[in-house]
Amino acid sequence: MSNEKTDWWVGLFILLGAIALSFLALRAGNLSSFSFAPTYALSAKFDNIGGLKVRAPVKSAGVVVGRVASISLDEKTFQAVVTVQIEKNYRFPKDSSAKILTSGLLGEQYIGLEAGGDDANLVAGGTLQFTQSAIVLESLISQFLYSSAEKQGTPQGTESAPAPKSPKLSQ
Amino acid sequence: MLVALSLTRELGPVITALLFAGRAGTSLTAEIGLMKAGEQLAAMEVMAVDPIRRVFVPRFWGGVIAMPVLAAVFSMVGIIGGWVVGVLLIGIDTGAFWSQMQNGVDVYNDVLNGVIKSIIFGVAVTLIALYEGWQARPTPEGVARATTRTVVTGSLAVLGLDFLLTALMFSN
Repeated sequence: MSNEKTDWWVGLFILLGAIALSFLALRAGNLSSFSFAPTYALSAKFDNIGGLKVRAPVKSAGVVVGRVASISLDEKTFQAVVTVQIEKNYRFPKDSSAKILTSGLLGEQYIGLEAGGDDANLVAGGTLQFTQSAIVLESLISQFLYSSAEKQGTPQGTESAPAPKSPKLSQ
Repeated sequence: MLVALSLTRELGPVITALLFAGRAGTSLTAEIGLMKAGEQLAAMEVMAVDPIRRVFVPRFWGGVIAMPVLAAVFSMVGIIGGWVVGVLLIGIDTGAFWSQMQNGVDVYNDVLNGVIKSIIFGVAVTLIALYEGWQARPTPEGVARATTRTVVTGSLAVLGLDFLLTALMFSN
């Protein structure tokens, strides 16, 4: 019977499936960018984390040194507590600062670590004292709009708006 | 990146499941319907062979195992097709293509969920096909109707389940 032949084809089929899955995981997915190097945890408090997500990269000078492990809200200060896992072989001074940056104008957000000058290094479970929140585009735009409206408002307000107070302003 | 994301998340499992319902589901229904029409199932019962065990269970597991494999192959071929068009025909840089893709696709969120989806679709489609075959009227016309119903119900079940699963998996 052709039973052996069928078995052969089934084996080939499963093998093809395994190849496809590993291709998806390694080539298309980012499993290969996982590093299994030992890590240590640091935490940082931000006023606003914007669109930061778990597993976002932590970069120092552009080099990926770790990943965001968890994000939660501190109920007392109402700040976002971000825990990051940094690879063991990267050490940072105690007064290093963390910023939330955006890759490109509208790209994904990551944490940028800037090394400080302290002699002592951060240890596992340590806290990054100096943080800078994410820049939220909407608030930037509204700030810009308000400031430009203020500028416009003082000299031109008299012409466009004949309010009762305007005679005083016109001079 | 969009190619990979849409393929691993949605198109891979869904289109594979639709094709699977059309190709394997119908043949399952027709086979079992014909077995019933030819009174083979009844003969098995007479011989004290459990037809569920002997006929249905192996086919069920075959379908469940084959679906994720087929979906993975579908996604892989789709991504390679995207690479051929993007890199060879349009001229995007190869490195940029892959790194963009790796930035956008998460192994657990996208690839694993695609596999889970395709397994669930496999279960649904195979169960529907087997049920329709089991319930078919034992006439040639009944088998033909059951086969049609397998495709219709199977496809609708796949689309409905896909909506539910996507809402569950990618909502947060």
